[in-house]
Amino acid sequence: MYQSRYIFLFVYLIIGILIPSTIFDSAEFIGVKSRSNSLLQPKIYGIRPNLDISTYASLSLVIPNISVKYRINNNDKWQMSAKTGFAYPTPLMRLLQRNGTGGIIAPDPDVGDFPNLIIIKQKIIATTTIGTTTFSPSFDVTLGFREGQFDDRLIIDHPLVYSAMMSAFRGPAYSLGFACEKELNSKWRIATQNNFIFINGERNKHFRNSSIISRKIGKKYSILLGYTLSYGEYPFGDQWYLVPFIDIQKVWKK
Amino acid sequence: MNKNIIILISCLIFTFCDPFGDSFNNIDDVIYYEASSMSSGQILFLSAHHKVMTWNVKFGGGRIDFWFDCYGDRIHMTTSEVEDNLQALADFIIEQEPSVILLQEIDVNSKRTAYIDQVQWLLDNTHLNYGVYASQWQNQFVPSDGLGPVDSGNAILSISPLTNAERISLPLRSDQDAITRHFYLKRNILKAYISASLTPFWVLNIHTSAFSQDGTKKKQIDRLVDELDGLNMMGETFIAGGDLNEIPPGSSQTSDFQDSICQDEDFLADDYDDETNWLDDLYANYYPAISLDNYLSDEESQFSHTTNGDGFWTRKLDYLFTNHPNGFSNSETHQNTMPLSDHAPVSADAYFFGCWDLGSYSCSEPGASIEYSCIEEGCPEGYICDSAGCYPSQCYCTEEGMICTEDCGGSVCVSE
Repeated sequence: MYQSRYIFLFVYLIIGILIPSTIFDSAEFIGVKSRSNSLLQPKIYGIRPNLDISTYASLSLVIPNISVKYRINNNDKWQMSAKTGFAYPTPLMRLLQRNGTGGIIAPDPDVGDFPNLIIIKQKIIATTTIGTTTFSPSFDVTLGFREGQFDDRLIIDHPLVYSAMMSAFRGPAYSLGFACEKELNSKWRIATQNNFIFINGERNKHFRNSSIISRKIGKKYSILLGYTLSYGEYPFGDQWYLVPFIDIQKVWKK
Repeated sequence: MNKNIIILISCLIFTFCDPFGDSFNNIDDVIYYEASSMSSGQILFLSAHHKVMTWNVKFGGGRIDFWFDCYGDRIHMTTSEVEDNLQALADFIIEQEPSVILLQEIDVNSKRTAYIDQVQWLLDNTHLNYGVYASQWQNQFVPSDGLGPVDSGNAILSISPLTNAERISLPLRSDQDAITRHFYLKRNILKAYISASLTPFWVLNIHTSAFSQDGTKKKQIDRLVDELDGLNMMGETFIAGGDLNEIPPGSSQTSDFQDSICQDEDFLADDYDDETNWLDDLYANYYPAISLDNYLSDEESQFSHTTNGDGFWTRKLDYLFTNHPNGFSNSETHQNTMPLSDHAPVSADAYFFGCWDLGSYSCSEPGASIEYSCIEEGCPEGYICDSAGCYPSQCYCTEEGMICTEDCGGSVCVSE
């Protein structure tokens, strides 16, 4: 049971944080007093017509995190928003740095504990709509502030986690994104997001594509079926990695 | 939305997904290697005997105290640690000049060894030219002890080309839960063929389970015996060896080894009380590098393993066997290698007349015009004596042709 909990944490780390962060993100807002929640994506609170706050509430004890999205420009064709995010993953990483089953980060004595690490992410998103299709190019910068020396043995060398951790450790890292969403009808929707990630001091390429197809169930619920496909040039080899996922989303107004 | 589209998408998703990246098949999962620099003028050996060696190199970990030995808590090495340890291994290999070496626990893409491809590294830094590798532990990510990505297995390195390589899967442990078994080692026999010899032969390299308590190791040894019996029945010549994780029949100590300090049942590997006859078939049917009589007359001098780098070797686990009637000679357990690995290499000379990579030359009958009485009378300078006659002790292949230590055009090497 004790070991299962750590495996669960690891799975949650991958699926709960990294996959949804690349799922479709636009410059649009959820609306005042509206809420959105899902198994895999962050909880979103519509505070004002041009201000959303989001957080992975269920993980906040082990990864305190929050993001604020706000409008910076608006005209007939394009909406532009900025999103500023903060996360402190150290408590979770220290839970995962252990011996035995579920040990994701090695507790090597000459490396020491996972350092205090604060991640700040600044994203600019532009959105335009043509017909029933929404296009959203984006650009984001990730900065990591840590104490102590960097030791690459602390990196989780998994295709889905590696680029995010390297971005934090070796920041700044830059990501060019392009998202596309289409309403097929009143119930069905498809969306895709592509990101090219460039990490400071690395010439290696990292690419990620996530796509979903969703169906509304009733007024509040949607079921999402999707995948994340990543490609990267890692120290452990060039790899493609595909993860399918299913998510249930609830959107409602308070 | 059409149902068929959803089914199609689902199929595509799961078809392309190999989430753990650890499935094997026998032929495709053998990787062939070549040294990055092999000049045409390289020295090739043409002699009556070839040194064969087996060595569990502990993934180039030297005597660093790792967590699984219960002597320390190290998990991942730094790049410089791995390279320093590999250099020490390479220095020893160069000094011993084996023609063929069977390696166990060698990493090619593991976080614990800084992702250094150790097979390629050793080929590039020794006299050996060709290699084959088969993974026994290949996981994209091992979620235990922070191990992360692991690709570790058996390799055969040789001065001459290796062909027809095959990874023969061995029975898996049945005393583990499904999740642990999924991430655990999948043992194998690595088999390859050396045809550039007057007596072409198979090389088989095995590393059996160390920690099983369910008889898996016996099944794995039996699988090796089956494979060797099959080759023998077909009239093929072989050299087989590796880390059998088993002590020889008649060993005076079968349990409670002083270097085994682990309390965790998963890492207990020091009780051979019920296993004392598991190698009987190998000793009975084939020629060991170190005979049972030699071993039993002075066991300690043939011990090849200890987990305690500050102590002395405590048991023999490493073996070489052949079915060639000439057997082995000059066998040796190299106990002076304590700092290099938790296993000592075992080497022996195999008396197959070798004719390595002759290029535009071919071999005539060995010793055709040389007196056969050399065992008593000796050979001329530049020749060595075998049970069948005298041969040039060495030949060198150059761009101009072959140069032997004596009269090359005499009885052994003739120009086509």
